[in-house]
Amino acid sequence: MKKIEAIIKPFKLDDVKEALNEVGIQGMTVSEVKGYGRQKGHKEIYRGAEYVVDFVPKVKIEIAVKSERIDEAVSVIREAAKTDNIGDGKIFVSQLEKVVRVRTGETDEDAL
Amino acid sequence: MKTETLVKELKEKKEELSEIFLAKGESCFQKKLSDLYDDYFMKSFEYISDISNSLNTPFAVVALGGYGRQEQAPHSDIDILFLFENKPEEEADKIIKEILYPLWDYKFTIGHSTRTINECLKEAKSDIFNLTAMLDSRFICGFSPLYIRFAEKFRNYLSLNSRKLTEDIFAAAETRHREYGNSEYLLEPDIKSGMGGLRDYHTMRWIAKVHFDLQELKDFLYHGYLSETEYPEFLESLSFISRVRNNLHFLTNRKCDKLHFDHQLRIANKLGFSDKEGKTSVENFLGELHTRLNYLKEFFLMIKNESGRPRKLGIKRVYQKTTSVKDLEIKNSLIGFKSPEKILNDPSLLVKIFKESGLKKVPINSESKRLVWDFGYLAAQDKFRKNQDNISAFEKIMSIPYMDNHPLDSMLNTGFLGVYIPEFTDIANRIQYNDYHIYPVARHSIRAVQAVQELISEKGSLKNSDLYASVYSEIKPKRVLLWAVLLHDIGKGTSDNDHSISGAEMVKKILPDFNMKKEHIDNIAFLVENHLYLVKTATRRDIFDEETINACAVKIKSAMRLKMLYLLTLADSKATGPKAWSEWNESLITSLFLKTLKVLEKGNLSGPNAIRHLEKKTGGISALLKEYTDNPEAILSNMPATYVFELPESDILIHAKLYTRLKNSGKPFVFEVEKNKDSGLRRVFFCADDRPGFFSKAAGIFTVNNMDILDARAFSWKNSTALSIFTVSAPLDTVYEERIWNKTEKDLEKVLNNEFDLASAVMNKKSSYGIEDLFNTKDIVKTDNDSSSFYSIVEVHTVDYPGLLYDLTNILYKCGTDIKSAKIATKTTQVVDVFYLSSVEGEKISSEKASTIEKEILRELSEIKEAV
Repeated sequence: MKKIEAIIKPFKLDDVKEALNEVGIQGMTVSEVKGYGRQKGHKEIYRGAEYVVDFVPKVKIEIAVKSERIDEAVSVIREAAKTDNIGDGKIFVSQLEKVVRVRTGETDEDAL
Repeated sequence: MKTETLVKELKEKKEELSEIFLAKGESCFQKKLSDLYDDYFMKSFEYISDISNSLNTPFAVVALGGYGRQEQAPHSDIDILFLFENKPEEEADKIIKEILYPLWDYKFTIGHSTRTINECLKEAKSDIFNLTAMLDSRFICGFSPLYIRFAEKFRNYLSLNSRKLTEDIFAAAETRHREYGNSEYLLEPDIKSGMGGLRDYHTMRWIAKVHFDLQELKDFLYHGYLSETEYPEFLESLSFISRVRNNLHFLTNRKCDKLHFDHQLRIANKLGFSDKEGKTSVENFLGELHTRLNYLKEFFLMIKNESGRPRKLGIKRVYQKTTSVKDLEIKNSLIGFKSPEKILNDPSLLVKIFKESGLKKVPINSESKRLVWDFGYLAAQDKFRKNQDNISAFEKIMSIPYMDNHPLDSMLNTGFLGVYIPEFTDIANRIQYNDYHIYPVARHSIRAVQAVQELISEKGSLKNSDLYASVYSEIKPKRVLLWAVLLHDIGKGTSDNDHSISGAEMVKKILPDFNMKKEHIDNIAFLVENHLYLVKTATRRDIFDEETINACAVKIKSAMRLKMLYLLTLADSKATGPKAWSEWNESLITSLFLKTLKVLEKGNLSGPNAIRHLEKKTGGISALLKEYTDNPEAILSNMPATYVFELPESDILIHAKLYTRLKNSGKPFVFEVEKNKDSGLRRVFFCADDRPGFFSKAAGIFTVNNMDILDARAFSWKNSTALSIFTVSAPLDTVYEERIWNKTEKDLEKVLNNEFDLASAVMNKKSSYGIEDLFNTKDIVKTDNDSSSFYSIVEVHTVDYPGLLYDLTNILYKCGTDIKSAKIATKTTQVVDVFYLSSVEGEKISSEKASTIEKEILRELSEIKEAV
């Protein structure tokens, strides 16, 4: 099992959600986050005062998938989140040790 | 009976009582539960006294807190005090445990203390919570003279310290409100500790206890704290909220006073609310609950205003506020009408009293609030509404910063607002059950008006309050913004699906009554209709895409309207609740605002008629394109607004045709030459795949083929297509001109395939022509990184020479920038070239990088001049 954490542009959330749904990957955790990568912050000047946005608002989605579906999931997210511009985000994949469904106590792949 | 048997009996009876409550909604549940506990303590005390002869020190069993008030919620603690004359002996401790142990065993939660009378007084003095618990004390059983002695001493203490205790009690209430928030505005209200919650009622009781030793609730009425009409409402609110609390305890099976989302539906159904009048059961339930909480809050504030202030001025001279408004007076720090008749003579007093109350920061006394309610009908008359003084007073009220007893709140609560703006009554108790709005729309609207002042106040803890203040200071006239904020949700009173649209329609009908100019009404209607536009755009569109910003500018059209919409948006989110307002959201909205403002103030699209012109032009181009393509919109949608704005229709049409040719040919570029026989000039249109350096190479090719570049423009479409127009001198040989154009095309193809050394070829031309600098022109390079949110603008002033444009663009290319658009103009031997640059990745370049580029250009230019 793998865990995907993807940082994407906020307005791409619905697209990514739908794209994942279409291939049958359901369930995700979404959070509003801020950060920066190669797209550094930017500043705007208003009446001489600088308004610096050092951390750009992004959305983070987290999903867990079976190992054999990881490539598909990553490419679906990538396709859906792409604008070809800077700041499109990043996808992190990591090994998932254990999953437990709270209600039933099912574990691992049954709990996904 | 043994205490354990008694507890078993208590448990059974409590379960029985609970069942009755859950099945039929027993109204005296709390009193009956507290009776059951009393019963247990009396019987167990009796039992203990019977079996124990060793009890030398008598004691009294006293109920405290909620148990003392006989308002025992299902899972609340049982607060009990064992009161002794002197320090109890060890034996007594055992006896007490005999009473308490079985209760613990059966999982009752007990808060107990064993104290002497003096200890009680000491505790009361040191801790406000002990004091208030004792204010609710009630004798249950045991040695009653002891309790009487305690009560007398305590009473004595209260009378001597009533002023200080009043202050302490209200201070504790304020701390509590800060901690739990105003439950009215919280999505998940705490019905005990939040504002308007039961604790506020308890606080009222404590105050009354301190002031006149309240014995029963009716004393509120006898002592004039509440009027005949208010008292029944007060009781009903109390009983409703208590019922909700009982249910909440049963539902969660614990002491839980916060009404979480997942409980709301079940409690609504339990209390018999159903879906009706287009609202769900939860919406109806919350509507009722919030009304009730608001009543309690109002009563609380009233008592706070009227009793929390020193009445005997002789003791300590306090600064007395006064009013100069005729027929109003300030007494005991409360404002009121001098007499009811004055209102009939001068109805404008109805609005003046609110204004003066807000400006002087004195609450309105309760008698006058009642008078406003009674005489409010006068405000429904046309001559009242259209009176400019009344309108100005009302607008002044809207600009008063948030405070307790804000005049807008008083206006709503006294029903005045609903009479003055009748459309307001439709949203007064309208609740929407979703994650965002949960309290009545009217209250939200008022909060939003107050939020405007909160945003701009320096005291505000908001990160960008200086930005908001700066924007607000530029808004003219402010009344337009304030009315728009007040009315932004007015459409929610209708059953229409889109409240923004219906709201805009209503605004057009409401505002002419308030002497508003047509121009302003149109702006307010626009703001109301689009009050969600910025939020939607910021969260659902790519705000780092120039076209999003341009579209936003096109929609909003003027910088002033944008500023108003920005503050409206923020005030709306701020007043909606913690879920709508977050720094994350705010930073998206502010970015969108600043970028769009730049376009409207500094960009090509600024200027009063620019946007209208652009719209008209887009329509025209679309019509022209129809003759060449079935789907003009597909091509049009690729064109940036600035491109459409700047080029004439005929040029855009040529580009559009070239674009079709490019796609069909599969070549990297196509071009077309427009000949002007008279002037000896040629205009060359390019359409190419956008790759860095193309513009530079095309410029070089003209130089190599002996054509002077007099003027050049470069643009990019959104689909990575580069468009440019060069105005060049006609080829030397105009007879065989076609041949030269063919050669030019071949040359450019070779350059792109790296089969042609363009740099050397241009250098050769430069050497043979030389640079003629008659006036010894000084090179000037200016970079501007502020005017555009997307590009750095580099302006170069220098002397013209063949190959200059190639050199300049080549330097920019080598600096790792991409030319998004360019404007090249030559005046005799002087050139002014303006480049709009981004990084190769499409990001705006940093100021540091921009100044490096500036230096680089100057250095290279002087090197070139020396070399030639």
